[in-house]
Amino acid sequence: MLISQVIQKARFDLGDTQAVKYSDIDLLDTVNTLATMFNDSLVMLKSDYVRTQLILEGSKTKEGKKKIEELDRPIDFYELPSNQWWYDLPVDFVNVNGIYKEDKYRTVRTADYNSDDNLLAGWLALREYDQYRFEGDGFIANVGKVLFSYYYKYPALQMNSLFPLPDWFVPNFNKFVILYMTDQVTKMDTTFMSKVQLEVSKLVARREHNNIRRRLAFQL
Amino acid sequence: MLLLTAIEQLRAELRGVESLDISDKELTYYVNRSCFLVNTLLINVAHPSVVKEKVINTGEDYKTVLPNFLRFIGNYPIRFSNGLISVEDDTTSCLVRYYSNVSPLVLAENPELPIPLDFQDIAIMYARISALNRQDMDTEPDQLLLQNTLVALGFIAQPTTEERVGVK
Repeated sequence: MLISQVIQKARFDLGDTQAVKYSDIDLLDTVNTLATMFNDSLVMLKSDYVRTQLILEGSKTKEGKKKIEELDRPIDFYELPSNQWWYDLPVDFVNVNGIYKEDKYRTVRTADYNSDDNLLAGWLALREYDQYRFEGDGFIANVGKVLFSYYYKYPALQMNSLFPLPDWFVPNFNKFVILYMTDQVTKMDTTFMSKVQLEVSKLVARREHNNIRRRLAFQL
Repeated sequence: MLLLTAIEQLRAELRGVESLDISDKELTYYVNRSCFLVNTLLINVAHPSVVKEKVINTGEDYKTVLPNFLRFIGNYPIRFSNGLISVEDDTTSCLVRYYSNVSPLVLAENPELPIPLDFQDIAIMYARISALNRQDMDTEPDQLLLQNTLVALGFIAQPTTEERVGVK
C-alpha cells in the first residue's frame, strides 16, 4: 500500500477528504513520526519485520578521528593490525543481530536441522569482544568478509513510497495517526509511545514460532 | 453575477424604502463589504469552494504571488521574511493550499463578484442590511432572515432561545 493511500485513509477518518484542515505535509510528517515509533517498537521486540542481512567486505584502513582545531585538514587514515578489518555500519543500522564468518566446513547438525542447506550452513557466528567489537560508526572483526545480520530503520517516507509494513498493520497504524493529529496533549507523551509499543507487540507476538513441538535432541 | 447586476438587484430589493439618495458608488461599497464578509464566513466553515492552490518558490514576493493572502491550510515548511517566500525544505518550491481575502471591486470595470455563485444572494442580503442601516431603517427582520439562512446552511449554530427573543 502506498503512503498516499494510507494518508487518504487517514483523511476519511479525520473527516478531511477535501484537505481543508490538514495539509499533506502535516500528515506525511505524522506518518513518518509514527513509522519511526512502530520501527522502534519492532526493534525492541527483535521482530523479523525489521531484520535484514548483508555480506560486508572489510577494509584494512580506518578513518582517523579529527581534532576540532584540525577540521580543515584532509582526513587521515591509519592502518589496522594484520588480524583486524574495519567495517562501516550500514546507514540504516539500529541494532545488531549477529555477525558470521565464512566457514566452508561448518554444517549445522542437530536433530532438527540435519541438512546442509539450512540458512547458516557455511557460516560461523563470531563471538562478541573476542572476535568482533563495535567502535563508533563501525566495527572491527578478525576476518575480511562477514555476514552481517542487523535490525534496520525505515528511510524517510514520501507520498509515493510503499508502506514499510504489511497492509494489515494499516488500520492500527491509522488509529494512532488520528490520535496524534487530533489529541494535542499526548503528542510526544510516554503514555502514547507505550500505547504504540503495546499495540505493536500484540500485532507481532509469537509470529516467528510455529505450534509444532520440537523433538528433543536426545532421548531419555 | 456582475457588479452592476448585483447593484440592480440590490436596488430592486430596496424599492419602497428611501433608496433614491444612495449612489451606485455607495452601493458598490456595501457590496464589497458584504463580499468580504461572505468570503470570511466561507473560510471560517472551511468551505472547499474558496480553497486556492499554487506552487510557490523561494525568493518570490508573497504579496504578488499570493495576493490578499490570509492563511495556509495546515502547516507548510514555508516562512515569509521581509515579504519574501523561503521554502525551508530540501526543495525550493512547494505546492500550497491557502485562503485569501477578496479584493474590492471597482464600479467602472463592472467585474464579477469574487465569491462563489451559490453564496452571492447572501452577500446581497448583507448589503441590503448595510444600506438600510445607513438610512436608519429597522434592520431586524432582515437580520433574522439572514440568520435563518445561515443556520439552514449550517454556517452558524442555532441561536439559543434568549438570543432569538433578543434578551440581553
